[in-house]
Amino acid sequence: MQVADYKALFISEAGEILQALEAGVMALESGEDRRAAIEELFRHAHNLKGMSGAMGYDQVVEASHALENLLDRCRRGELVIAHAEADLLLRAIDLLAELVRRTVSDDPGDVSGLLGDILVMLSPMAMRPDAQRDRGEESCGTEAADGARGDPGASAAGCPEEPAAGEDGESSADESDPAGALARPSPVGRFSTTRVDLGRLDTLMDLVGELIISRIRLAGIAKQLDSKVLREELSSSGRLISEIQKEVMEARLIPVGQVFQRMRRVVRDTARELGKSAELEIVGSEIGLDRTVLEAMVDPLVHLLRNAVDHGIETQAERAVLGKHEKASVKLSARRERNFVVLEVSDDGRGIDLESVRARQGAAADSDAPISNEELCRVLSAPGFSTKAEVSRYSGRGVGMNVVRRTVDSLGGSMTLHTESGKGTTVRMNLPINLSIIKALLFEVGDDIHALPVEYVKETLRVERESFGTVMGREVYRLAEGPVPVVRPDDLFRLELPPSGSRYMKLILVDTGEGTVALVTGRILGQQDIVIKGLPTMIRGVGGISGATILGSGRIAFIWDPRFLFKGRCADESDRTAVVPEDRRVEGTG
Amino acid sequence: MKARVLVVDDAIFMRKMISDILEGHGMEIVGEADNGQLAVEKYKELKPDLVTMDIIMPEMNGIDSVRQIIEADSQARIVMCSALGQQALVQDALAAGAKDFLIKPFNPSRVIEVVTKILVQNAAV
Repeated sequence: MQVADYKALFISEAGEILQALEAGVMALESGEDRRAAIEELFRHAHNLKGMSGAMGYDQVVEASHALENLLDRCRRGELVIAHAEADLLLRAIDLLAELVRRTVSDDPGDVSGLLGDILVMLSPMAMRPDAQRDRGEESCGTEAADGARGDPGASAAGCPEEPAAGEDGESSADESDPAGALARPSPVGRFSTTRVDLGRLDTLMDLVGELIISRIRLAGIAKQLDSKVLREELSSSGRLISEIQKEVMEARLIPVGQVFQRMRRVVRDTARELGKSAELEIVGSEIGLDRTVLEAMVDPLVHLLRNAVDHGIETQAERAVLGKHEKASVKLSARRERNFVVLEVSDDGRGIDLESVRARQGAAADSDAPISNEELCRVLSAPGFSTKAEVSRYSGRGVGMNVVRRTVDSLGGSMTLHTESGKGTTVRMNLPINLSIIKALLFEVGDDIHALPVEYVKETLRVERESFGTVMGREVYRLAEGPVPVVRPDDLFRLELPPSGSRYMKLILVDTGEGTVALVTGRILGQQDIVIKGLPTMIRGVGGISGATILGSGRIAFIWDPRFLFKGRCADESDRTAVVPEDRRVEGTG
Repeated sequence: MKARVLVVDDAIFMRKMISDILEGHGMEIVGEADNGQLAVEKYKELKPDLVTMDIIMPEMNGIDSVRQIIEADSQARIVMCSALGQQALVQDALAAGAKDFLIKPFNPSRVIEVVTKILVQNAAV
């Protein structure tokens, strides 16, 4: 094994350890089975130290050693971790993660300042020994009472812990709560799995794509040769290929838990900053999702969770009056529904204030009509919308929901929102499990073949040339619900196409996200599963083209992205309401 | 005959590192365990010639694991892997029946030296 391989292993396992440390501190803070939590934390810090030592990362050794020492003192009962200490510990762990990140990077630079900060945070001075505190007067978890007494830092930290009389911390941890230890997923099962570099899986996926293309070509040859035997054999190889494709696709999926776990910290920090009490419940951690999709969803999830804590959840005092449990519940869940993964962020807070939504919506809204959940979702995710009067550090900037919506849209997903006054709000997002293979409609423009993802296709039509009209000097096709602009590929790509002499024309009604356009095309070749290939750097970033695919014939087809390709074509000021009755109206009020 | 080794450590990194050193010197890694309890089970199942045992692990620590393995097979050859500053724990492990110990980070030649010594000394058994 090469040093570089150890480094990769170090990076991956150190990452897991740092996440486990963060989760451990929060578990400790929430007070469940403190003893076992401290043992776990100690073990993780110890392992990080050992690994860093083996790699010769001396600064990481020093930092993790300090952490290990501190945890050892907790283990011996000399120090108690309550909220204030947890704040400090979590920040130290953040810095430790940064230290690891820089240490393994190609250019670590001078990390001594960073190390110094970590050591200060973990020093006995920062974490005052429990003995100095006014023990017995305060109890854990009653921050409301603590606040009244003044110094919140000291009082919150002063919770008496179960006596840690420890001759042998390690064995007594097992005795203290065997059930707790068993309840955690046993690491034993991990030995039936192996780690594979993601790049390798991506390559495998590409190869399967090539295999599919090669099979389609073979099928073409079989047809030419008119060979029944060859065709039969190809159909069985086709089944095998799609099995392989399915397996590789599944293997490429990453459990959402990897992102979900990080969200505990988001909820904790936001709640703590706002003086609220909330707990994140996580469901469906094991559900797999495409890496690209999962990565793209990190920021939206952070936003939704902050929103839930900031806007959704009431203060502890309010909740008490309302007869709700003082600790609010925020839930982050994932489940699989056919080719989609459904992510939900819900809270048991006050629900969205429909009156303020109406107020902000302004003239465009019919003040008497009830707002449907669909309408609400659209309004809330319009650019610049916020019901909150002032902008807080966490949310209320009015850009958030719009960004969430756009991200979900750009991934080919959809989003809905349900809110019930006094009961809470749920945001539900349907996301495609993978982005590598899509269903697309293939059609001709001149001699070239192009592909349009089917979710953008509303309808294909064969119409008479005479059925086109003009509105405000622009060519339109009249649908029952109103005229839609006609778009010709010649204009779109500045091509010189020979005029067609035929009386009939083919149209694809394309849903651009902003409205509908009627695209004039040549022959429509039908629907097909296509493998998306990235574009070469040279032409990447060409607006409106999201990628390319190689067809069975070996020809390349460009994949259109209608949201950009038709930007500004579906409507302008004068005919907006006629052409796109819904979305634009809301955006216009922003 | 290749020596058959069971590697016990809760960190994949450390398991990989010690496995590579031992395999590089012609030994065979017949199994791995990431906690003391699993180590006991794997020992009974695999009957390895040698066990390398970490101390601080979840479920069951290395010292209790040594105790249980020795209880099942008094001739078991176990070498402890510890960090600096764990002398007291190493003493406990040796008292429980471990033959020797290695200090992390591993020095490959020291690892081979200790491991071969144990295998040779106890070869007659």
